[in-house]
Amino acid sequence: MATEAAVIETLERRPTSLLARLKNFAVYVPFLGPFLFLVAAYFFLPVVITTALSFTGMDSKMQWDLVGLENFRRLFSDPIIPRIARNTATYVVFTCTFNVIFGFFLALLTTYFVQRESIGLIFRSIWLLPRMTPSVIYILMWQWFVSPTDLGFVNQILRAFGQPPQAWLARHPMPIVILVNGVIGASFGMIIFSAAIKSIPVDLIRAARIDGASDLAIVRRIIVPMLKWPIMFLTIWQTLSLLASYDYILLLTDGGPFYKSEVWALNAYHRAFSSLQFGYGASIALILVVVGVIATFIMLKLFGFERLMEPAKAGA
Amino acid sequence: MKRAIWLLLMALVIALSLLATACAPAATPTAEVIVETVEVPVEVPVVETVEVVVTPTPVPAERPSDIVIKAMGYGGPSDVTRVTNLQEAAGRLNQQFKAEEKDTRIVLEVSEFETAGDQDGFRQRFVLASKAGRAPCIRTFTYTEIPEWVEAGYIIPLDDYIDQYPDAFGDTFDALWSAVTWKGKRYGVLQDTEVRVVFYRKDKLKELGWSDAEIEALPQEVIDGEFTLDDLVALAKESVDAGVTKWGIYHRPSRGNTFLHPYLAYEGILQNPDTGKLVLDESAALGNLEFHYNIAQVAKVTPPEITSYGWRDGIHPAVVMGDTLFWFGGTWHWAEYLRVDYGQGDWTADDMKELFGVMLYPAAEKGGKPISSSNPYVYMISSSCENPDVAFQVIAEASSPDLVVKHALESGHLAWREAALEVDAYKADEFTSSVTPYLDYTSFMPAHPNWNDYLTIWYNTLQGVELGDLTPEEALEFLKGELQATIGDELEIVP
Repeated sequence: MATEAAVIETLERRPTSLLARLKNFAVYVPFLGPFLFLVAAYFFLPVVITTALSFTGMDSKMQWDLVGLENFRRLFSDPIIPRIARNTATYVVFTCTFNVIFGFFLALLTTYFVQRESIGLIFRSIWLLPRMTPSVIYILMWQWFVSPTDLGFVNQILRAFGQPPQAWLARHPMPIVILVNGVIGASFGMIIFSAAIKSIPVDLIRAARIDGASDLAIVRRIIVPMLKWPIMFLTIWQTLSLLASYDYILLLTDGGPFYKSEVWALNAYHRAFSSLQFGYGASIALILVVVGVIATFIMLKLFGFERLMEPAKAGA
Repeated sequence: MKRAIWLLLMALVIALSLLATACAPAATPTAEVIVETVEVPVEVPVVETVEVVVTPTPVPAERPSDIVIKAMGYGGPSDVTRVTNLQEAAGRLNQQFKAEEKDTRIVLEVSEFETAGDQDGFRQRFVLASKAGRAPCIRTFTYTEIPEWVEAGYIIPLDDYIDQYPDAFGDTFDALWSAVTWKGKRYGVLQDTEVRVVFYRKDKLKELGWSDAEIEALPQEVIDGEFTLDDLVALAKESVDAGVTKWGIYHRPSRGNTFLHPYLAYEGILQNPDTGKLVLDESAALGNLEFHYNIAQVAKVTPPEITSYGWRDGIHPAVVMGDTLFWFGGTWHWAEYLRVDYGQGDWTADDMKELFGVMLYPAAEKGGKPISSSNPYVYMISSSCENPDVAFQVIAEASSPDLVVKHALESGHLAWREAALEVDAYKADEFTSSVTPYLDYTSFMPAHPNWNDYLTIWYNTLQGVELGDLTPEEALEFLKGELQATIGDELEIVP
């Protein structure tokens, strides 16, 4: 105890002289430096550039012509924007829900219900396969799966039952986009939840069994409450990732047909790289950054993030 | 403490090594210029044994006197002559230099030939390369992008060069010069041209009870304005109702000029000749929207989801297997079906002639003029090019009548200069000869920096109409709003 107190005292002791402060700073730099550099290079710098670009009319000429708030005025009068906002909300909410619930379901199956670790590992590895597959190959598989021609996998099944082929992607682009992203995204939740479930003291589960608790009761009363923080992390992480993601949609539907699967990030991409209106595309992307920051704060508040960061209470 | 210092030193060494590696100049690839003598196919009679510098991957020049000219091109599987003609031209020039005992050699590198249909990527790469000052010297793509690149300063005017080669460009069809002219200067020279045509299945019309004479007379009826768009839809419906074909009309699944043909048939104009601004004629636009709504939702002769079909697994197999009576295609598809197997096996020109007829796009009203459009491809020279004079010399050589004809016949395009019409092979090709007069009815899409946006918004709106998400009236309102929001002052809407 005495050693622990001494460490805490050392950590809390504030340097008084400038030299001491510099020495202290020199100790932090090697630890925090790489992370600060990465955050600055891959988050702050792009945000600064996007912000600066959004006030320009940069097009294929690639010139920084300042246009003030013109891009934002145009954005809020663009008739397609409300539709894209709705699409984005649908995409993020449903895909995130799918990812979290399905990821939890997979974790539960492979860690709680399947007791043998080797079998659980095999199933988890199978669900990780799409993660290891290049995006283009993964989407090619889905395109064949839902192809509108007679050769499509689903349509071949329909044909076996005497049903005509369906143009799945043209008729139901958003549900398929959600499914495609959900199946690949669930593996991330599966890994996080598997680790969390395994870290639950097995005594608790045994005690509950002795008290006559069913599996459902154990899941509801023990596992889910103890997974609160992983669920919070995953929900926030997936929400932010999904808000900014568009690669699978670009490859699968390119936002169509008739903007039915066009989401905010994809629209920013289309404006910037198809229409070559880099300034306008940046202004659309900037809105996404703002929405992402607001959404993070709201979710941290909802989940009670302060309590997670509180030091553990003595004797707890 | 000593251990910490050692670790720190090691980390420093590793970091410096990484930095040095990153800053080191890229390794020079091994020079592998393949100079070979090849026999050029004798389909085109003028071509003889020539020395061709074939550069399958970018390679550096071997000697200081070598001049490297890079080229990029775009097209379908049958269009590769858009860049191989340049290679062949470079080979011919090299032979000429050799004969003149000049110590100069042109190395023609094809930096890319985009066949996957990624137009956006093809544009992006050119913009970024131009901005970095490293764009390939020669760009072969549609004429419609000329205004955008001129305004951005990415391509150079070619008038002075064109004047130096009257033998190559003096007999260009006059009407085609307008396609490469922007603000009074010419920024490209023609590479090819084509005509969009409607393919119709002769065998299916026979099944519907048409006589041979009636079938052969159909193109002329279209020219005379006796067979209209309404007649075309009615005939397509008859074919579907009778079970002769599964569908009546197929059109392309991706963005393209053909979607605006009914707009042109309803006498809509796309650009104000006085102001140069893009135009949306409301009544013609409504006609176009109603046409697409009709074929997909009312007459049901076109699959409403056709824009989700793939070219190679959805569209072309259906066309060659006779699933549709009409196919809104282009002359190049004739060559494509002779060369690419979409399930039909090996077809000869006679097989094609027996199964398919081609005609212009019918007029909207009886007695009206039929419609077509052309999308000439052009050679442009980038402002990053260090040897524009040599690059243009290669282009001029690639514009030799025999090479123009070689490309036209192998890719189903049309010649753009008088001298090419005199080449025996061109005259002997029945299909090409039969469609060349259609150039009289063709029109060009506007040269305007916002043309790409205009066409994209039209295409997206027509998708909504065909899927039944929008009525034609709703679609018109959407179209106006989206075009105004995107193009702004550069758009004129007329009632």
